[in-house]
Amino acid sequence: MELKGNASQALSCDNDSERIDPYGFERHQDFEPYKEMMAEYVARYVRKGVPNEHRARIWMAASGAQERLERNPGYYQALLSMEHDTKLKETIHTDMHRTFPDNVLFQSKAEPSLQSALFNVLLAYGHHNKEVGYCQGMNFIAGYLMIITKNEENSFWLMDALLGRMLPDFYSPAMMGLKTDQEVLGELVKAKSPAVGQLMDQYPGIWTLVVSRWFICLYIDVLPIETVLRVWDCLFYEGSKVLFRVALTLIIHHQPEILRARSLTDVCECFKQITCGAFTLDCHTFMQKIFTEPGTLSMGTIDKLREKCRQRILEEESGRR
Amino acid sequence: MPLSGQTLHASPIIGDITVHPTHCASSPGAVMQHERLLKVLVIGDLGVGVLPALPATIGVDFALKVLTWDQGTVLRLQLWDIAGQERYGNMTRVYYREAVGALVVFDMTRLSTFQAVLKWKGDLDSKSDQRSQGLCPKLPKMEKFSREYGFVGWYETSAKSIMKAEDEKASAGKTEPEGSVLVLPHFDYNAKEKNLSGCSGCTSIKTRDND
Repeated sequence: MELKGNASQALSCDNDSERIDPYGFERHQDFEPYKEMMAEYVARYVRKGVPNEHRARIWMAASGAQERLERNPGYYQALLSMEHDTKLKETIHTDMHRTFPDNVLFQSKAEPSLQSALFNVLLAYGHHNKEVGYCQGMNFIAGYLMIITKNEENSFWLMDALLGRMLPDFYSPAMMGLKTDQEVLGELVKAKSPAVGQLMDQYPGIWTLVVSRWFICLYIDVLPIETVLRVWDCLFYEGSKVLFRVALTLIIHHQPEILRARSLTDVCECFKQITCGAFTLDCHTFMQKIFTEPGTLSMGTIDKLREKCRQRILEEESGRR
Repeated sequence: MPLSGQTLHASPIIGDITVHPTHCASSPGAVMQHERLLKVLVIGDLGVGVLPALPATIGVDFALKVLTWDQGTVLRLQLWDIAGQERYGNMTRVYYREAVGALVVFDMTRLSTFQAVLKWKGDLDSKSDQRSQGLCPKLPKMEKFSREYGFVGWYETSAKSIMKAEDEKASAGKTEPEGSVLVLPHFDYNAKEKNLSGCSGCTSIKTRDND
């Protein structure tokens, strides 16, 4: 089954050829509502999980990575063959033996070893996006992408979609996007679970402590792998909002446990516990929960909160200087 | 999340114990009368994190080590692993607050992590309180403490002094490994600077500029 470009059309419906439907008829002008309906329809499917054998292709299509790849033939190889920054190379190299050391595919002796592929993807990305370069955590993301796509170039363009467009400024030196979203989560918790919000307010800076890993690693090694992949299905199709949904669900669902915490240590320990166990292991139910338990979560709300939190962080940082 | 004593000397450590007089706080709700909570930072450059739970600490993590100090005292050592890439450091500096000490760590196989030691030290200095009051009488006997629990060494430093950092440079410079053979040194912090000509990296380290 050759899907390639077609998938992106079927999913995003933004191509010129979309004037003509798959059956050869010219589309009506009321195509917009139809597109919206289709997007909803596809989202429902994606939320139910993309079969693993189709994951690479769907992720590529949904995120726009396929389109970029096709528009830039040979770009990835060119990045690899150019002269490389020694410091960057060294930094990436340091994390190689710490990326999934227990996974047989990543052992340096494995044939073929995903480790060398991982190194290439990170090196290419570091040169592609010089502002970000390499940031710890990217190794895990590129690693998962390699596991799923088994293709360096595809992994590279998926990295580009994630880091460059979907999670802007998460991994850059100032990490403004990450800091902002941590605070946004804090605000959302205040609104959706005031008691937990109040508890967390006692400990300044706690959101960084408990959720930076969740966001930076996009739940890798936080949730079970099958659950992570299901979350990523939605992430690629619907965007970064789903990361909030996951965090909110974990928190709201475990509110009684969290509220028992009496110290910072308790809170941190609790936030580690709530990611484990049957609740997150049963990815099917978990995925249903993330779209019901936190209630409505509009992009408008998130955008507003992002702006508000961003301003607050900037003020705090300029005050500290 | 148990943190074994061994974990600490798996990585070479320079004990950089800064003393803040007022923060030997009893942990709230402690059952024992003489329970002490000590917050200690572990800072250093990328990839020298010492907490065993994760292959590499992302952001910040901490572990608790409970030590029976003497019959009447239990020490709860809260080790904050902030060792990581600099960009995480920018985010996690808020955790410096209320720490009674810090371990500046580096990886003996990678010169760059050692070169960063002074940067981290400077960072500590700029964040630490001035020592305006007397020393905390409740602080443990450091010699005994570090010997008994297998720390490589310790010394006291004032937050604004870089003299000791110079000593670090000297003692660590001596032991810069050749090839891939690594021997955990017994640091002698009183050692005078010896021949450093064999270590190009160390000579390039300048003393910290004023922040």
